[in-house]
Amino acid sequence: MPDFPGSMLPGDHHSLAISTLSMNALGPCLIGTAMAAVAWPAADRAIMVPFRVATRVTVYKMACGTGTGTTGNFNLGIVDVFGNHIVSTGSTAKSVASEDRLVDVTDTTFGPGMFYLAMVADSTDTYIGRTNSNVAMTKLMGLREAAGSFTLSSGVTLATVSTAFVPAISAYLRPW
Amino acid sequence: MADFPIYEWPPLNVITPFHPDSFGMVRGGALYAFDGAAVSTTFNDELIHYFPFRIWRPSTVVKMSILNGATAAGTFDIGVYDGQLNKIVSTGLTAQSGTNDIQTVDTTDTTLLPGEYLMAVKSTDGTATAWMRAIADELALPFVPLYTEAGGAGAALPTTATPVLSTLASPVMVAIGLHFDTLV
Repeated sequence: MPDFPGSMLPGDHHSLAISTLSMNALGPCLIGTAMAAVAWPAADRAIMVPFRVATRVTVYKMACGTGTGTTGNFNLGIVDVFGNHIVSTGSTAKSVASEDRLVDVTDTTFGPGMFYLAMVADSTDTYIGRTNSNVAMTKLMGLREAAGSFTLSSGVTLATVSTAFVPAISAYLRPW
Repeated sequence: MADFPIYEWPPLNVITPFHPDSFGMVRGGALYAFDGAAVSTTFNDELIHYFPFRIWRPSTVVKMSILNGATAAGTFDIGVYDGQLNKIVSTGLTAQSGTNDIQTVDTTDTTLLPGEYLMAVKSTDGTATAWMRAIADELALPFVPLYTEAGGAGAALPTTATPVLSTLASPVMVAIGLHFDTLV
């Protein structure tokens, strides 16, 4: 099946992918500062970026960017506002440096509503994102975190974010 | 269930002036980037700052917050006005406390129906600071409607807003937030 989904539902507010920088997420809050390779703040700490969808959609791939180094594994996923698991890639070896990593997920339909793009790494190797001026700014953007949550399929316990790091995460969508 | 599909665009868990549902929609060349240029800035004493935002589906505000700067002083008031300029909910005058961190205030849970609103903030102390982004008026006002109103000395936000386009040489966007989640 081609990745290009064809026509989306009329009135849909999305593009073909939703990322940290999308209008569906935090894009306008993050204008003006570059993404870069940043050390993951703590092993097994999941970071959640809020996003929303206005219709039912199906996610089929997720992506992140690897920074320098090839150590460890990452896990990408989507959770709902209560931290319940929607879909995840499962543990994926970082294996290459300075590359985009597109990972298939089980085609999963969800929405409409607000959700979180989730990412966790089991090391402090670097991944693409940006570091805000302070943690408070990350709190005000609406990010969440969950400690000890590498296995996203169990769901996460959402907590106040304690890092200034905002990871670059993408979810690729088709209309449901 | 109606056959005509209604697309409801939910807010994120917070709306600030920098978010997509407010001025974040204006992306002209990092005009009002939240980070990178937002700094701890002194309030204009008693001046009310208004920032329009839009709600697309019924959503309940449960808390409001401000990102305090390097100096906490006096009191602040953060509130929401409807399209008819009536104050719907506010924190009331609250002592500013804590520096370079979010100060969060529980507010009466208030459901906002779809429509245009204004979020507002005022400080009663000209030495108080919050994180703000300022830009020269000739660069700002052709693109974004920033409104202000001279507030009464030591007074809370007015019951009815009278916003006018900012006449400041460097209008500001203040880092305040309306929260739709009890977790901040």
